Amino acid sequence: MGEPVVELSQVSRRFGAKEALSSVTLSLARGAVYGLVGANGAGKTTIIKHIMGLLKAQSGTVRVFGLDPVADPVGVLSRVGYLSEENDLPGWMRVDELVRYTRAFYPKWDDAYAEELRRKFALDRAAKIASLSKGQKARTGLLVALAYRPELLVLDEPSSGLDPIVRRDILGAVMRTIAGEGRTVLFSSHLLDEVEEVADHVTMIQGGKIVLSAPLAEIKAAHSVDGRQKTLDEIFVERVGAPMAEQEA
Amino acid sequence: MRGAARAIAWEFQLRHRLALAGCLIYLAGFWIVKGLVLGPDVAMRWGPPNALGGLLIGPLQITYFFCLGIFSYGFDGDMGARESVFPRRMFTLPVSTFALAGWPMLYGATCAATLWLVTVLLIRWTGGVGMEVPWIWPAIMAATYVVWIQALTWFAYPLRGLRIAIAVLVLSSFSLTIILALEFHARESTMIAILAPQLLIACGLAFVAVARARRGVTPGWSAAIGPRPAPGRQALAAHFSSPARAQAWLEWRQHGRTLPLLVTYVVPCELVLLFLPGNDRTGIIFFILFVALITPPAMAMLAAPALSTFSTHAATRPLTNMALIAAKIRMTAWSTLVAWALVTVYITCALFLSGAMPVAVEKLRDLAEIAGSLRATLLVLIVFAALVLSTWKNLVQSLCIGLSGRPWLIKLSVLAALILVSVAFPALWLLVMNDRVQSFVWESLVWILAALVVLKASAGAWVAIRLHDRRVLSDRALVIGAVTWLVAVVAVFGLLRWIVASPIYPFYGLGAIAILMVPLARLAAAPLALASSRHR
Repeated sequence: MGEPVVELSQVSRRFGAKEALSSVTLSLARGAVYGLVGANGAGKTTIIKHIMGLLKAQSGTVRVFGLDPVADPVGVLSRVGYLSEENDLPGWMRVDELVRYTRAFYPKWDDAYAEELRRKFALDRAAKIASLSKGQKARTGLLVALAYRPELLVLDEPSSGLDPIVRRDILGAVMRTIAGEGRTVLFSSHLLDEVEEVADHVTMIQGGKIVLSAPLAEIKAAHSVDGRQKTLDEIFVERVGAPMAEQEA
Repeated sequence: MRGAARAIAWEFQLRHRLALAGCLIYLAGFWIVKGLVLGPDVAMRWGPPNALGGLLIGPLQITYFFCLGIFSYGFDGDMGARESVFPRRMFTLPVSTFALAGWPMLYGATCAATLWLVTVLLIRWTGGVGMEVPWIWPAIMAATYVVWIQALTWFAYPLRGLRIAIAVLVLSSFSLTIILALEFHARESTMIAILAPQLLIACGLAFVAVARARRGVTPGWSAAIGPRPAPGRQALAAHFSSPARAQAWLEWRQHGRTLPLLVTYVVPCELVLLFLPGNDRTGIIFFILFVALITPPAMAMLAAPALSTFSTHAATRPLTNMALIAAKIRMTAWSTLVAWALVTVYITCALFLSGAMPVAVEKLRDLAEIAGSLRATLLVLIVFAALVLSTWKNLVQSLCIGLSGRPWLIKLSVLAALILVSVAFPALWLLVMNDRVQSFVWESLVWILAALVVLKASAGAWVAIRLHDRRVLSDRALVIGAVTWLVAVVAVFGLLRWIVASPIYPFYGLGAIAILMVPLARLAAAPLALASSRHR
């Protein structure tokens, strides 16, 4: 096994009195799909923001491709595709303009692939981003995050706003393709069935602490009763003590 | 209805209780110190105010400006945006539009009027002298200002930035009406007759604004002129030659047109005055030109906070912090140049069309005769360059505030600017009217300048150390920056020496002015602010 793509070591983070991350250690290897699951406020986005260099670790270290994302944002961000939960794409741009603008930052940008994704996502190139629906915005964000074939794709709650068909067919297919090409995907979600469908490896986080992190197959094998494998939802309840919906409430 | 009134009042009180408590404590403290410690022997003077007068009127002015921001919800939204600034979350409340707009208006107007009445009471109780202080019309005026600001803020506009321009024009006209009425010694009843209809008009407009905003009406001129044509294949095939160019394009498209738009709204309205009958005298023509020429730097101050914002989307671009700042600086430079190109065209057209050009040319000829052709030409160019540079300086100096990404810092800087403005005007008035103050300032000018230079140098050194320690800039970049700044200071100093070649102005004084003129600490703090905001 080569050098991990992402390595968080004993990362802690506080926001005022609230401890958002507590000594989180996580390592992502190349060529797999990693699902980061937890209730809202569990710390998923905080971990992702540390990986993207948007947050500086108060203690511990963060390395992406062996680089510090805060010290070397260009070295890290040029190899990472990112779709944020907030989807803060500039609303005044048109889809085409966003593609043209984003293309300038990535020498490996693949025009043919970008066009293929645009058609697959049914996006009108002349449409203004502000006028797109939530789901269309998410697809646009996904398009510009994928078109340069990043070595690491980070998706923060990519399903929010996407309808179930797009979620299952497109997102799932995209993730499997990327992993198949030897690249890495990290995605956060609170939809456990979706994670179960595409992830190779699952990390459960609760209250800023990792409660479980292992390959999905291993998790399922370890949580089988009388030959029946438990669902990820059941495993989450077992580990955290309450269903995801209850946690969020 | 009563529930809505209480809830809205409670929200205002909850959010701003600290400011309210601070204001009340200050007023109580002032009254105790003046009434019990200083006693009646230490008089408070107005017109111009003495130090004691300034200590009362300054904070009350600041409180009033703060009230304008609070009751118009101006602190909550983007004043440059087309959409109404009235909080959208309130539109879904089970409350009539009349109540939704009416209660904030009533609270704002009452608060402003009360603030004036408290001021008058304090002036009278503390034995203030030197000026007749009326009760009623200034209270109505204060209330009318609040309601006008509310109406202007709550309306949606067809173009971005139009709100600021319309606000400047409407409020300037309102102020001008009051000043003219006072010039003609209007009686209190006349002042009330002038103000009361304005209050009613502003109230009506504010109701309409909230009703339209609640229905989601946002006028757009793009609908009238048809959709923007989609870029051609050729345009889309054209790649940006570098990431820096792409980022500069984004900055220009997002923020660069704000200042040119603002001057396009405001300057032609000012220049229209040249066409009014009776405005053909040299003094008036040059006054109108002066106002038009100082508009871009003033508008730059207004536009700067909106220009310096920074999104998460930009934070995740694979660019260094310096490249992101460079794109902003490039945008501000283009924005300044385009704004001044427009102002030059507007002024030239207005002078030609109004027939005022010969008067302006005649004055320039007089200057050439006194100073010599070369010197006169250079002087005009230097003044023009100084105006252009001051516009750019006003745009870039706020970068460190906006790039910090901290709303409280942005609001605090607005408050600090208001304090500065409210202190600067009485201070200037004092300086103009009082010979003793003038001689004191002149004698201690060297020390004042020295103190400011030390302050600026200390701030610059602090920023440089931080930049170095946090490795935001390389040593080479820091040295290049310092050398560039020094060269700029020496150039400005040389110019000043050439312009004011008189022994009355000592060289060290001019040197200090040159140091103070060239931006240093705030500009250098921009990368620091961006680094702390991008990697919190």
